[in-house]
Amino acid sequence: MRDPLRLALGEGAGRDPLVPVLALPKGRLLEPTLDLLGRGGWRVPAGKEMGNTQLTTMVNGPCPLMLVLTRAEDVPTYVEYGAVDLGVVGKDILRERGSEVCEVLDLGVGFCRLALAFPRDRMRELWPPRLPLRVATSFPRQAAAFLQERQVAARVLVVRGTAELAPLVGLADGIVDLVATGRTLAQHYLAVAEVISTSTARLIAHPGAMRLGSQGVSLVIDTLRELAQDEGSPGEGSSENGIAPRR
Amino acid sequence: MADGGSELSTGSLRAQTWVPEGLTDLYYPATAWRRGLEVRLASHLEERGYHEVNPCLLETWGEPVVAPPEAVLRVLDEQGRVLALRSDFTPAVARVGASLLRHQGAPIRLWYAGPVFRRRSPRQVRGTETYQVGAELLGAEAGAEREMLSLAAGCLCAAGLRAFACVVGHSDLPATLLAREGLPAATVGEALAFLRDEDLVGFQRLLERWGVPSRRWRRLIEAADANDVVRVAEPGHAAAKADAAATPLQAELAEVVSWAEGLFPGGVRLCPGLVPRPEYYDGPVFELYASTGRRKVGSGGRYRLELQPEDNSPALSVPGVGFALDIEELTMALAQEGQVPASLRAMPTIVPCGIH
Repeated sequence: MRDPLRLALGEGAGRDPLVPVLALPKGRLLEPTLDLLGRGGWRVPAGKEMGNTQLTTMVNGPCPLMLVLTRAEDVPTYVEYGAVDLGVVGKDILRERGSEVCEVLDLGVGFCRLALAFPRDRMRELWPPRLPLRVATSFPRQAAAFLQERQVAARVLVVRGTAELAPLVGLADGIVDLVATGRTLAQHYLAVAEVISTSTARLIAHPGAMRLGSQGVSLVIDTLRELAQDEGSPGEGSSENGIAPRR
Repeated sequence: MADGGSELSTGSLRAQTWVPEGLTDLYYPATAWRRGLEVRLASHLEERGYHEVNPCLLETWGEPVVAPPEAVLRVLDEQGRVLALRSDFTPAVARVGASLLRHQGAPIRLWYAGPVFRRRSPRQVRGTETYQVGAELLGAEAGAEREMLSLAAGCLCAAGLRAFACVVGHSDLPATLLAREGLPAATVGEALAFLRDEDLVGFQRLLERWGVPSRRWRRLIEAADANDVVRVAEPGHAAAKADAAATPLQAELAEVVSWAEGLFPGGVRLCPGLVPRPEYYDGPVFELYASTGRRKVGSGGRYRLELQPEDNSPALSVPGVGFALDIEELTMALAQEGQVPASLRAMPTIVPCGIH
């Protein structure tokens, strides 16, 4: 008898088409996504348990579902190449990557903002800028587009994580980074100058999975759609200043 | 040393050991495998009366270049004129076919094999070069889709693929359905852009803003059974079945679906919201998927190209039906079916992950 894990994930004719495979992101979106799946009837493990012990888990519920745990930035790659049918990823990452995936649902969880921030005590001096700026970010595409749109002369420095450190040590004047509660910014003496965009978790699908529409994939989408509607996504730019209320 | 690559000094010839991003060198035995696959496809196409053409790789910038301008790789010639690397075979084959049409008359059956180049977004993982094999039936009368679907299915069989499916749509269907919802033209254009980008969240929000009920917009984005042509084409119209024959678009779609049925072992699906790229399609369109792994191995449809002769004589309108197979995706699909030799499967493929 074949291992059900290998059967669900396996290559070739061995892959079970009735078991959809869903890629989940490690990090801040994992808990709220598992919570959504739990409310949808899937018997999911706790986020910590999943992250610590294994990268793949088969769960039962409205239909058998294979969960695959990856880095958030890698979810679109797994989906784009058809290695998994579905994935959950923040809109911020989708904007940054421009992947060829189908964006199916706004799950309405994991709300955050992509913001331009400067040291609190230098805010007036730096924004609006009179001199060329140096901005550190893990989101160079969106940062560059925003600064260009505002006709700001700036050099965008790419860092991977802990961007808030850059102004403290003199690497950059400011940062473009994700802000959820604002606590991390405050801890590093930074304040938001402009909100560039807002972001929530999105369910994405391989276009082939959408077009060929297996029963399992449709069931996962329909179940999450109902839950996402209950969640009442704040959407993008839904308030006057483009900053949706913190949920 | 530049770009982090290494250089080999080979006597008087210094060779770089890296290639530009998005491109790749193909080694043996993968080269032999690809040639073998191409021979099988060529044999099938030739047997069915298609003749090979090999249009030039460089095109004059400003010809019907169908990729977005930012995606086209351009070079300058010695006189400073802008040339573009071929980004799509269809206009190039149609150009070749146009001169044949003048002398031989329609229809003209042509096939081709070779690379197309499109610059991807720096964040996208897929390569810049795509190797395609495809066929064009130029000057095709209505109904030529039957021949083309049969040819495409035959090519996939000849390649050795066992399980494959066809998704059918119509270039006019999404706009027709959206217009029936009473949306203004600008909003229809916006909605089509969302569908083209596969952004169903943006599409849903837009239609909800215009008060379109969810059961109506969902019919646009959800694939349907092939025998559901009437329901799909006329959402919310209970009497649709009665006047099915009266709606040319429905009748055309139903006919294409009936032709496709039986050719594709993995079945035929309807996708009403399929907005084809490139935008020159003006009729039924189709996508070909390997059932295992759901890889898109090809696509095609009906189109009309306006060709402007160099001597400024009147533009020539060329109708046609065609399809192209993506050889890399087809090879991967065959590998997933276990039909690629182990020696080839050991060849490494680099898939960049994360934000680079």
